[in-house]
Amino acid sequence: MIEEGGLRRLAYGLIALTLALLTAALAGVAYSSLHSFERVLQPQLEVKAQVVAQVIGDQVDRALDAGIPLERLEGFAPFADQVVAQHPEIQRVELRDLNGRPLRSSSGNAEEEALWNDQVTVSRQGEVLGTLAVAVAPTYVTDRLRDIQTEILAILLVALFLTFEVLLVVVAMFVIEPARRLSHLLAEGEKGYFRTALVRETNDEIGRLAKAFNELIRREQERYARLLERWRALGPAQPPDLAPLLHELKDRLSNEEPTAGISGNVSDVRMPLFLFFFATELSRAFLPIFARDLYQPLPGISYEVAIALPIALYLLLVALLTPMAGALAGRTGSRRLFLLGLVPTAVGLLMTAFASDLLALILWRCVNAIGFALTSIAALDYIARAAGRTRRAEGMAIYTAAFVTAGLCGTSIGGILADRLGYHATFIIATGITLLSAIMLLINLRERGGGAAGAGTRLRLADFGLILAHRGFQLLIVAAAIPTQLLTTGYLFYATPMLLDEKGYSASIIGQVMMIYFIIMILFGVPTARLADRVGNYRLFASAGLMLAGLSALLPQLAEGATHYALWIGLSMALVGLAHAACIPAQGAILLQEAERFGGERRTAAISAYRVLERIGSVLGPLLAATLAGVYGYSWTIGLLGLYVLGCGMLFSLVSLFIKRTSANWGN
Amino acid sequence: MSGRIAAALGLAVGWLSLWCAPAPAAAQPLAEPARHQVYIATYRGCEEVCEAFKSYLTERGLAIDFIERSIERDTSRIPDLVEEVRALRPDLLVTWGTAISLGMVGPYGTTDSERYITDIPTVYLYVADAAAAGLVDRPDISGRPNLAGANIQVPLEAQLRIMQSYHSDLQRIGVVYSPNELNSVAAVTALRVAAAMFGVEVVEKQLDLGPDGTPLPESIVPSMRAMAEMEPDFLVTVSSTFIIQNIEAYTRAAVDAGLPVFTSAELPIRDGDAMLALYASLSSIGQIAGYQAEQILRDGTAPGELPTPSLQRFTLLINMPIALELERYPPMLVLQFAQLMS
Amino acid sequence: MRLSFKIAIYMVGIIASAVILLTYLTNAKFRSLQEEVERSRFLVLALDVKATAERGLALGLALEQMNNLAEILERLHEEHPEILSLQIVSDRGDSLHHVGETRAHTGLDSALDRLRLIGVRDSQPPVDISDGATFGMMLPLVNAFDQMAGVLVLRYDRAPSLAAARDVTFDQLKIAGLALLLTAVIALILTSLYLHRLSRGFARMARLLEQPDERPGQHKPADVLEGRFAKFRAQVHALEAKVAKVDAALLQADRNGHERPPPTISR
Repeated sequence: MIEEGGLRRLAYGLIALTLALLTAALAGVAYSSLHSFERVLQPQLEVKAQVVAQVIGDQVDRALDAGIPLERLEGFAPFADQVVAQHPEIQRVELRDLNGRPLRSSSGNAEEEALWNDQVTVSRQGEVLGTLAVAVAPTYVTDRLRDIQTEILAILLVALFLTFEVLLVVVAMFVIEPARRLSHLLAEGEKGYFRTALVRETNDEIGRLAKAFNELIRREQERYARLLERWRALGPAQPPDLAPLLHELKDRLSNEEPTAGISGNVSDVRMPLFLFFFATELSRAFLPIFARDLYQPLPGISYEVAIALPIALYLLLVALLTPMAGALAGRTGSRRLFLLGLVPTAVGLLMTAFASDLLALILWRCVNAIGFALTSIAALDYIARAAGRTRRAEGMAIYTAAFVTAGLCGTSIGGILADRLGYHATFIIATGITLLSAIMLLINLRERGGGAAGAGTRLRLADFGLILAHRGFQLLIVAAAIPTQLLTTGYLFYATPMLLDEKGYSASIIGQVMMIYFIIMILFGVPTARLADRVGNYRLFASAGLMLAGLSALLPQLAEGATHYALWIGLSMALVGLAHAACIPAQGAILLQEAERFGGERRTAAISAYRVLERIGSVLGPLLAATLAGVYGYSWTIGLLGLYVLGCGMLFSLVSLFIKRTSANWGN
Repeated sequence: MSGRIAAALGLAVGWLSLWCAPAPAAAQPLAEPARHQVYIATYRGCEEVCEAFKSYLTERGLAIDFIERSIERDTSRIPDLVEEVRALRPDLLVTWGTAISLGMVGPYGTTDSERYITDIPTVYLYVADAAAAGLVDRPDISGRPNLAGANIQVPLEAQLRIMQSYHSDLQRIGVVYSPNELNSVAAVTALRVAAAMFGVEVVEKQLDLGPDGTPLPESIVPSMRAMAEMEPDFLVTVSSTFIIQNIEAYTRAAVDAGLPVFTSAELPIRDGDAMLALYASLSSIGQIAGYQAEQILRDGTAPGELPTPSLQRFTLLINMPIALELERYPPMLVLQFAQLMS
Repeated sequence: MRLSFKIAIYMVGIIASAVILLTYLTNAKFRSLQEEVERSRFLVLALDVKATAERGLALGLALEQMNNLAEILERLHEEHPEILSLQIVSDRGDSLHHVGETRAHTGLDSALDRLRLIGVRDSQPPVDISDGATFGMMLPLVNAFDQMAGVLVLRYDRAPSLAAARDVTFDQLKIAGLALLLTAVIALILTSLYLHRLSRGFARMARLLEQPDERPGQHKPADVLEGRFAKFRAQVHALEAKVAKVDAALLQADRNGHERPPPTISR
């Protein structure tokens, strides 16, 4: 029918269109805003310039009244410089005689376009002897607006990624998925089969086509149903030669078996999921700082550990609840579970906005964690079912893309919002976005009854024992997974905001620096995974990634005292992002390889158990970082974590080489 | 605030009670804040410093009965004052100048409680260099439990900095002094050391001494001429009785020789023709001692626990006619902070 | 609702969010810039007064004795109409010189306490004593031994500049609204143009599906798609033929069996 490649290109065309309109709109708004600003501020600047000139003039008058001749005035330049230093928009002050000739001036140079004001006069005992002329920078307002240009760039970048994410989803949702289904219907129909259930009827062009198909199929199926009824009603009087014919009809029309194309649309869940992750990630750039501000002494717990608790407990709860949520998904049904999960998320975020002390924050973050576990599992479950076996990888990619893109947008926008509106207001906005996600979900998702789709296996302790006994798993968990998670949460999520805040950077800048990690992950995630697939050596990628990550974590300490410190941290973020893009998919691939040893259900259980154990690293991360930071300070702490990861990477590579060499004995 | 209102009301009621003379009970003044008794021992009566000291305290709202005694320039009368102080036991004793301070509380380390007051809180007033005079242990704290005061000297660094601000390429300063006065000689040495740190050279000319060992007034003009040939950027006055006594001639000779005079005292610029002065105003000298006294009286702090503050800001005074005459115009940054004398 | 319309909504949604955020950001920056320009203007004046006062303090004069200060305050108040009041207050809170309106000084005492606590340092920024209606700053006046002898309080009226800021905000909102409207229209037009072929394709398919039967071999299918739909329809016909057959047979069986009135089969 309509081929998918063309549709993809269509999507990119729409994206390009959106970006063009976006740039035009933003440029237009920015330009005209600047115009308005200058209209108001320029006169103000001139008034101020005159005031400054007046103040200088008063001192010149004093000198003149004391008897000093105007031409012999000493030290005008240092004096004027000192006054002007406080006013960056003033470029030059000149003392001129009555003919307008400059006698003295400040050190600065006025540009050609500068605006001159020479209303202020200097006089001795009332007799005017000269004037003071002040030059004001004509583009001062524009220059000052440059202060926020990184934020504007961040908005543009976020809008860019958002455009990609949203439009790809939208095209998939409105065009590709329906087209795929209709294509399926057509293909089936060409072979004479009209079994599949209905395609969703929207009221656009595709919907009309869908309606036509649906009506046709429905009609035939109804006819068959009635025939069947009459056949049954005949009872013993059924003519035997009709039976094969009826069988054939049944074959062609019966829709007892749902096929993959109808049990839900992966793209349906992508928008609500993205919004959900976006809401959760809004606080990424400032949560540890928020915790620190709310600090209250907790009995028996040190200061450092206390402020790391909200993050650590959140991660712990998510780790513990995820397997349970899996079982729940099997019973409740993904849509309901997703909605269910949004409730504690929204409540948690809203109450966090009103949190006034650390205990309250910890409490509501834990509530949030419950929501996160439920919702993310529900989404995974839905995706697993909707994608079916054939498109599982694509489904996972969609999930990961939603997460990372939301991380990018949320971190940077969250930083900007926190900077301007404050932490509490940002949490309220996050709550609003969660509600939006719920609304989108109610509109989009269709429910299919609960059914086994594989995500709902309950984990048993025995499963943990199983994988822990296994040397391959041991190595993977201890030397690869835990260090990676540790570095992610300890360095990225905990220490980076604290470090940059200590250096005096605003939440906005912090958000943008952290955003770099996500950008790199998005840009390099797929290519490095493909490269790893091609090279075939996952262990190489995992080790290299670990070592690179470890080395990158040394940068903050090495760059101590450098100007533009934030840029160095950004570089470190980028390198860690690259490292993780290399090693995380590779770890996943190694995991699947190792899990192959167990068959069937054990395999899934092994993977789930692995994921839980992996989370140990993520829980330890902030706690460890906080404790070390109390003694060594943040940049050293990050360095120490880096050395640890580096060491693990080397260990991993050495042991992997050893395993390879002794692969004959490897038959555990 | 409360002090003022109380004082005013007290005054008003007191005035009323004058009219309603036979009813003191009805015209009871409001309960007044505790009154302190402060005994001030001066050299020649309560002059500007002493007055500034008193005004500071009254303005700060303290109710004080001042007992003023002057020794009328006669140091032999100090023991009488000591006895009176012992009898009266005031809340605070204030001693004006080095001589009276040493005479009444004794040098640092003294144990002679017979001769000296050691048990009454004391604040010394207008003492140029308490540590050098042996009055206190260190410049930053007195080291004596019942003695407090303030540092009122203009630091040499501040003096040099002002001279540098005035004359941006300051290279050489000159001193014309009487070699028989020990404090002058010491001052010149100190000046040389301080100037060296600024990269400034000090050139000197000693006045000719007469047969009695004191300088000859006639040697002032030739000494100035000789000094002028050495082309210093400033002529700096040093502490000297001879110079003070001949201040007008001394400074006039300097100006005639084309030398701008810098001083860290008030007299050479007020009475003489010095061009530039950085000095501690008498009022601020009184005020800073008053500040110490306030802490003792109001807060009850022991004098020995008070750190010795220093004056931070000094008066910068420019004699404009002289500056114009010498054509050494003050730069605007200096002008900004200076008082101008015409 | 057309497909292009639905897609355009999302496009405009993203653009709108970015535009709103940008507008908000620039507006906030503008307001802070405006405030800063104004404040620094009055700071220059206040610092000048402070320098004069401290010159006198260094001489040992008391603030209340400095009458030239009163004159200076008067002159400033006249020359700058936005200045609501200028005050010299002693460090104990007594008003020594005052020009301009008198108001209950809400933040004054606490600000004084704060200054006393912080202590005075050279070139420290003034203490902000704004309180919604007006903006104000408080500068310490320091005497010869770095003790705060009093403060200078300057209050100025922000009403005109706040009004100007409101105007600018409205302007920005208008421009943003206009831009979004324009963007929406252009997006709708361009999207429907871009998706035109696609829409037509689907419309064509719907037609092909419902095309009435034709005699086989009547004309060659124009392209692959038409061919496929032809095949589809053919299969539908084949199915319907079978259904008809069964229907007829059942009818017969019915009649044979029970003499019951035959049920009607809708077609």
